[in-house]
Amino acid sequence: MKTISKIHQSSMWIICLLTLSVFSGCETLDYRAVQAQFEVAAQADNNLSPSVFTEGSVFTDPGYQPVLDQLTDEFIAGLDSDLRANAWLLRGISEWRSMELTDALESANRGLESNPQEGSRDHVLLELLPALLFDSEIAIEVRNLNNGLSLDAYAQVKTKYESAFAKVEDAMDAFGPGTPASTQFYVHYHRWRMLQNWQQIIVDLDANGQQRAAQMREAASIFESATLDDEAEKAMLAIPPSQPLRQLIDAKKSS
Amino acid sequence: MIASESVIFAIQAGIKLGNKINRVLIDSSRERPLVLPLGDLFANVQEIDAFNYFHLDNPELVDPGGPYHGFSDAELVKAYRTILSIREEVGDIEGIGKTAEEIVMNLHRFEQVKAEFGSKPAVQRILGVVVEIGIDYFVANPDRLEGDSDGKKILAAFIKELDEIEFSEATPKTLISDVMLASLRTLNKNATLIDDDKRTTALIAGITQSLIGDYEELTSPSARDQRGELIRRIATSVIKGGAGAFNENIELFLRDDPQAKALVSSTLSQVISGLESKADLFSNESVELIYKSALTAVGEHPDLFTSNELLQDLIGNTVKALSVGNPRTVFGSETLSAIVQSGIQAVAENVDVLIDPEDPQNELLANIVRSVAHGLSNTLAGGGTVRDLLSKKQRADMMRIVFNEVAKSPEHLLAGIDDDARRSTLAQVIGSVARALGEDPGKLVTGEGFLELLKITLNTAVFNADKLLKLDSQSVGTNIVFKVLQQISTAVLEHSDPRQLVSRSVFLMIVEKALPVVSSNLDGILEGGDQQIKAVISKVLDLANDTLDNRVNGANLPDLAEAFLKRVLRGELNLNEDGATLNAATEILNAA
Repeated sequence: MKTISKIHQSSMWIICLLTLSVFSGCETLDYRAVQAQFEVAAQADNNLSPSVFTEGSVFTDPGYQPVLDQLTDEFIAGLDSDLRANAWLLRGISEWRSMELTDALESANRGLESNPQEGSRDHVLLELLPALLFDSEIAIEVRNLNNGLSLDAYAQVKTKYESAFAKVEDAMDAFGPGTPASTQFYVHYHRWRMLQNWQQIIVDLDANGQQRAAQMREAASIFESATLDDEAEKAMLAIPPSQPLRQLIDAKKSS
Repeated sequence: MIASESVIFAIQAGIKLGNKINRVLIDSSRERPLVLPLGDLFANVQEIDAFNYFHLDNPELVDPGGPYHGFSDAELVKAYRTILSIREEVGDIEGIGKTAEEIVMNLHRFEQVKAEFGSKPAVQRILGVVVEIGIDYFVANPDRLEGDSDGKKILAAFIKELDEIEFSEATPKTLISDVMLASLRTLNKNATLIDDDKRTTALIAGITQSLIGDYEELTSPSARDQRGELIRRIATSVIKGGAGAFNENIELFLRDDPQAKALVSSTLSQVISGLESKADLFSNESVELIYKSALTAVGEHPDLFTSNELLQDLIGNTVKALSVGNPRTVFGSETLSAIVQSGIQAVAENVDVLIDPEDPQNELLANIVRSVAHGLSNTLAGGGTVRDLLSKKQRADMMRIVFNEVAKSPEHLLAGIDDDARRSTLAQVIGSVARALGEDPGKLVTGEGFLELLKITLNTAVFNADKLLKLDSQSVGTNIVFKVLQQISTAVLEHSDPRQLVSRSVFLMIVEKALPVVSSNLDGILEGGDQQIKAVISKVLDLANDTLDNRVNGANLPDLAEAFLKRVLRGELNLNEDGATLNAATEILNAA
């Protein structure tokens, strides 16, 4: 009797221990569910047309709202400190893709304030996120115009892009020995993408060819390249040809 | 009872364990790979590439005057794709992008050149045709368009000339093609000529101007159609002929001669006009040779031939003469081109002698042809079949011999030709020879033999025409030369000649030796009667077949006949005196 009782007691203790441990990781498990939901949204986002000027534009909601509904301030505050940067990143990206640009900027800042591991994916992408926001902000402004920007109006756009690429520079400065290669490629991809968008704005300027060509050269003055296209080429070449992001770029160039 | 320490331990253990598991969970969550959004690419990458290509990298393509000046952005994208296609076609090697741009710029320049002929759509079309033909030709012969090749020089000369011609919209593509390709194919083999740009240009330009320019001046559809067919056939031949004239006469058409092109052109125009009525009878080779001869003649005597239509008339009148009456019967259409060609060649080689600048006789060759034809006609030649003896080639050769002999002694052989061709020296000599051979001339001569006999007789008659011929009568029977030949022929035919010494070649040798002797001893003929010559030949044959059969053979028989003839005609020998005859023969044979 005493033996059975001892075994029973041991089992009870084990069950209690396990229960305790389970209850202490619930927030993390919930967060994993949010991450999964984010991935679904991102996948759907990438499957939509990338062009704002065609139907099925990403300006329609790709499905990040459930993620945003979950990642409240309180929820993030309740996460382990090591997860908060990641959470702010997912929230910031979700807000970006939902065109809640101001909120996304705040999320990026709060994410950086939560001390992500230096050189980690989350750190690098939190540095990058403001640049992506500026690019989207410009796109919204330009989309609302019937014709190309005037040279005067373009001046402000140029300033914004300069700020955006300063942020990109910050993201690249955050690269460290521990930065995954895939993260670096992701940064270079957005570099290339944003440079294409910037060039398109210049091509569409309400000005003659020589004036637009001059703007192309002028825009490149913040880089160590003669033209924006040269800089875009550098960004593309920073991604190995075998990488999917590079293959995507190659496909865009040849389509 | 549960010990408090155990509970606390369990709690601590649970916390540690939970923390551990949670840490693992947290770390794995933090580091969990994520799908990340790609963001929005608003740009049209090809449009950007096209913009950068044109406005930054190659502004000359879109600047004023450039091939893409004024193109919209959308049009530039299409143009960019075209250039990429060109690059792909030309090959993806370093620096090849420049080649694609060069191609585009040169095509644009070409379009601008075409556009300069905006009011002349025909010329624009012709330029397009030239490019089209050129591409076909040089794709097959790529080495001929490289560097400073002959092909490029020829093409440049051809294209340059096109600028001078007033094309109509009806100018057929094949016309341009034939002349252009004939130039490219033929002149490629003339390295010496091609190295001299100006002479090449003069030749090609002159020929092109004549062939295409004259075509354009024709107004009736049938005339154009006919001329087009002719050009198609003879383009290569005239270019060959022209190149031949240039190559063989370096001093002609000197490189700085401004007249060169005009001479080449007018000569060809005259040649074509002259032979056009019977163009189908002229082989390509004869056209080549006629043009070559004509160009040589004109090159040496430009003033003589370009101030009138002498060349055209010479050819045209000869063609006409050969196409009707006796000449047509005698020569047939098959020999027409060869006769015209040899006539023009003779003129070319003997212009100073045959053409009087004060009174250029444009019927000259025609009259010669008629004279010869009369000479062989029944009227003069009798019922003999000399004509049948001669092959077509031999008839053409006969005219060549006649033209050359006339060129040597035109005053003599052409005497009387203007008044009545039948009474001309030429007609009378030929008629005399033909009639003298009798009803079956084949027994005495072959076709070649007849030509040789003709030559021998002409050579002799020319030195003593007024004595040997009676030009106040059409009948050849009164001519001494006829009598001589007839008597020799009769003697040979009537003698049995058992040893068969008098072959056809021996007959010719006898005539060759006899005629000059007679010509220089006419008193003997006139005083001694008509049959002296026959008697001499018969006597010689008697001796050769009898008493002197061991001394006389076919080789020395003509010499014996010649010597006998001399002595008899001079009255130094009486054929009726057998002893004296034998002694004379022996003496002659011993002295040989």
